[in-house]
Amino acid sequence: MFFLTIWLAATIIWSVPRLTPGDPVSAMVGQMMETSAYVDGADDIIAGWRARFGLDQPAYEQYLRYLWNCLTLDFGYSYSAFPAKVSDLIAAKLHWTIGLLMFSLIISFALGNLLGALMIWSGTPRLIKFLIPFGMIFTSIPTILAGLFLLYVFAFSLRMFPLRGTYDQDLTVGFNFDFIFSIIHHGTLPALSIILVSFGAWALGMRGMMITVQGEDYTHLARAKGLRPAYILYRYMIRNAILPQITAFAFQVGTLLSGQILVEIVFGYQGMGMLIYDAIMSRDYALLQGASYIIILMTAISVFIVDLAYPFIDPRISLQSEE
Amino acid sequence: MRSFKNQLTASSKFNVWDTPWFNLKLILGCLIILSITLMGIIGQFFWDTELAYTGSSPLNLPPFGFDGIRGQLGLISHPLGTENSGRDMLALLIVGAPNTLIIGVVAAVIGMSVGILLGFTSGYLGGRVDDVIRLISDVTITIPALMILVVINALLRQIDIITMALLIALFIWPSPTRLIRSQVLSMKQSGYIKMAKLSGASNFHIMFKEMLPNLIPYLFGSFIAGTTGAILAAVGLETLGLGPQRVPTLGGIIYDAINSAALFRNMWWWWLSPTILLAAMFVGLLLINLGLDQVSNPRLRKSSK
Amino acid sequence: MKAASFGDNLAEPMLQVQGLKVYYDTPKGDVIAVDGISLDLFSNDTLGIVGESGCGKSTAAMGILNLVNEPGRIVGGEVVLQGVDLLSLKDEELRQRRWTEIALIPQGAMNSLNPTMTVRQQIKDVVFTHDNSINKEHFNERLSDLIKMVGLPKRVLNLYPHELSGGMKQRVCIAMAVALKPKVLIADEATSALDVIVQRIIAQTLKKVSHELGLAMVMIGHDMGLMAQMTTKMAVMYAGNIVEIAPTDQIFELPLHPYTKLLLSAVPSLTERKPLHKMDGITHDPRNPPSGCIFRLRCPIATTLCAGQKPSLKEINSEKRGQVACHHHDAVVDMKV
Repeated sequence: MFFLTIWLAATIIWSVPRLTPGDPVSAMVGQMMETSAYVDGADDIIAGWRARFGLDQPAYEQYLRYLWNCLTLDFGYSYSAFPAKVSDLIAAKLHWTIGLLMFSLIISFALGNLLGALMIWSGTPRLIKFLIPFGMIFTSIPTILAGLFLLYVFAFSLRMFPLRGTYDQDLTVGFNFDFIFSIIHHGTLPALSIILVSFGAWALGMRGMMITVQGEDYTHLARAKGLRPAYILYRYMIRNAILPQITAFAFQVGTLLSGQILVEIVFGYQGMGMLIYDAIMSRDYALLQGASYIIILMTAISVFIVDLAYPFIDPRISLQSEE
Repeated sequence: MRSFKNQLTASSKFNVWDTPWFNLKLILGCLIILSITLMGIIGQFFWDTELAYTGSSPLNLPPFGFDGIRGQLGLISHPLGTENSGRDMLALLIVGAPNTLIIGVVAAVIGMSVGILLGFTSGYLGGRVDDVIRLISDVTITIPALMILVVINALLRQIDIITMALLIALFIWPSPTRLIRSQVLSMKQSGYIKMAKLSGASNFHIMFKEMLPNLIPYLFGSFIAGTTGAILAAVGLETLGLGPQRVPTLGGIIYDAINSAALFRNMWWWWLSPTILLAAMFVGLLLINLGLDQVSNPRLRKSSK
Repeated sequence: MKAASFGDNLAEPMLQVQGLKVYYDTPKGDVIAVDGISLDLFSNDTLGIVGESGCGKSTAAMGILNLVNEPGRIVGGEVVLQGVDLLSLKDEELRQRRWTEIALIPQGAMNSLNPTMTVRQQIKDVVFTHDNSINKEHFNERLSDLIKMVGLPKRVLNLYPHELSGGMKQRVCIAMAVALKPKVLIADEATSALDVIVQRIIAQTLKKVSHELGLAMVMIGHDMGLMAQMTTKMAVMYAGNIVEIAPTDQIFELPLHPYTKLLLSAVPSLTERKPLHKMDGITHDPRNPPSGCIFRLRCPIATTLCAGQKPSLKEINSEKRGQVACHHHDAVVDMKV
């Protein structure tokens, strides 16, 4: 299942450029011609590059070579930043994206589900129950717009946060306080955009599950047993309501990652987002393919991990489930 | 000693207004979406949409009543301001909003149709067919749609609304498919379906005359969710500059705004109005979704007091 | 309304319910689920509450526990357990008394156990919540005693609910219910969802447990045969009212209320061949109870007196014991069913 996903995605990424008229190199030369009106000896350049990038071989050979490349994570040379290799370019930026992702994901999931549970629990003060839906205003807008909005208000108008970048370029890289603070400072708004938009979905889902759980016999008996209310909330209600949320989580990672890419672009955060954006702008298809593939790989891996972990959380599922 | 609410509440007569379809969220949501749609359809009769063309208006005007970047005053003839290629904002919105809605709705319709077809087939026929369809839909859901769409759109130079809707529909269909499949599976076991089979009804009849009517609330909800997702994807692509170039779209307006550094030139009206309109659209769709939830799940009607 | 108390037992009742009323809030008006019931329970008593489906037995049980869920609400009455009115307590005080003094064996144990906790964990949490001075060894001993008492093997302790059969789950619930040695036990249709053989085992277990611990037990059900074997006295409920309450043998030998007699006649007999009796009519709309006697619409011996005045529970004859709410209870003996 995991491999099927990756294979299908990789195949789509590979085949689409092949379906358009012309090939990447001609397209690139075409772009060069656009910018400089005329390129001398265009045909020779095209032929030379084609040989170099292996584009003159039959399609199925190219395909097999491509699949092998995907497995070994070697995507060749970037068209725009030649002679840099695509994998190097990705490696330089990947960890920023992963860091932001982990942070936003964990907070958004935890916060969202907790708030959803509190909306239903009888022990929550009425005031809090009333205020929570207001915090969910941001849920309905796409992440980029939330990003834009936050950027304008907090970075541009109020100048509380920086406008661009991952960290302050003047600082020395390393484990010093200034550097780490700068990272946090730059990362706050991007993270906030993602969290504000996604926690609402978790909250709503959890709220639905909590309503079901609240009506269950075991919750009723838990109250009859005279257990402490907070304990009932945690061990009897949340613990049971969160199970479908975890399944949903596996399917949401892809969407979340896509949204994050856009947020990175808005904030100029130097992660995979900017990489992809620059690749689009400069028509660097090799980089584009490589970066997209990595993103998809990341998604597939997270889904896989969640699938693996699920039996440990829900004792009713054994590892050989009903596939 | 606790005090009790110990009077009997007077029994009220049966009220036709009590039907769950009349709940506040649903109505509000529908109103919002309807007004946006109307604006798009009727707007062109009230406002000169020629103003959406480049160079038709003065450049960089702020909305009426505000000061612009170089001390210009907004004019009533351009109440929402203009942008830097001389296009009037209001006209842009009137033309752009329906375009965005169309993409979403068309993609959702195509996705739903495929979804209904595949969902019924998969759930009803079972076996290998079911396995194959299920596998493909699970894989499609896991792949981050935006990435693939970005790659595809970046490679296709010109893209028009319908093509974009088709591409997006490619990623919309798995959700309705899974939903319908699971509903069909549970309905297959129920008494009335077995009765229908026993009385010799054809498969076609069972699927569309017996099962489908029961699915209507779910289908509605799925459609709205699909539309939301489709518009989300469309806006994402448009904001990256990968949307239809020849017609204005809400995301496209925002793309132009970012590219012209409107954010930093404090031309807030350029990107704010499409953003607000988009937010309204999404809120409307969300409300409809929540309202439909209340219709199909009775427990949500009177909960969490 | 004076509660039923039988002359023999001069000690104070363990549980005293007075005028308990529970209403359900529906969009079309309030439904009277429990219309002011009263009863006394002494230790070593087992009171059976019987009646048809929907007569309010389970709601009454929840009312006694002060555990009524929305849209129901307790509208009036007192539930005095060891001198304290449970309905007047604050949340925390009520919580402390739960399970330690009064416990519940729920209907449908299928769903009453937390699916993500083992049996051991579920018994452990209630014990430690109420008694955190207990040490681990002591607890493990107590745990194995409990499991043995209900006749289950020790390995059950580490299993999850979905790995147990219905009968096993029910027995786990029994073990859990007596873990803190409560004074009162309420068994809400504890055997209804099980097959006959398992029913017998459960019934025997309950009897044994209540004997060993000297509990006062309330058993709710609709299987008259089972009730006859298990209970010392019985209360018959109809549409939220107790219409007759008496020692079990008297209920069966000499029912004093028309409904009781009809109920008994509906039980198929093993010895006689006679047509299966079915009562006429259906229950009235619970929002609109009839004036006067609650049963008069279906009663074969109802008169105009019954429409005018609601009969209250009265002790008929202190020698005969038992109470009945009927104007014509003396005519019941000759009533043809």
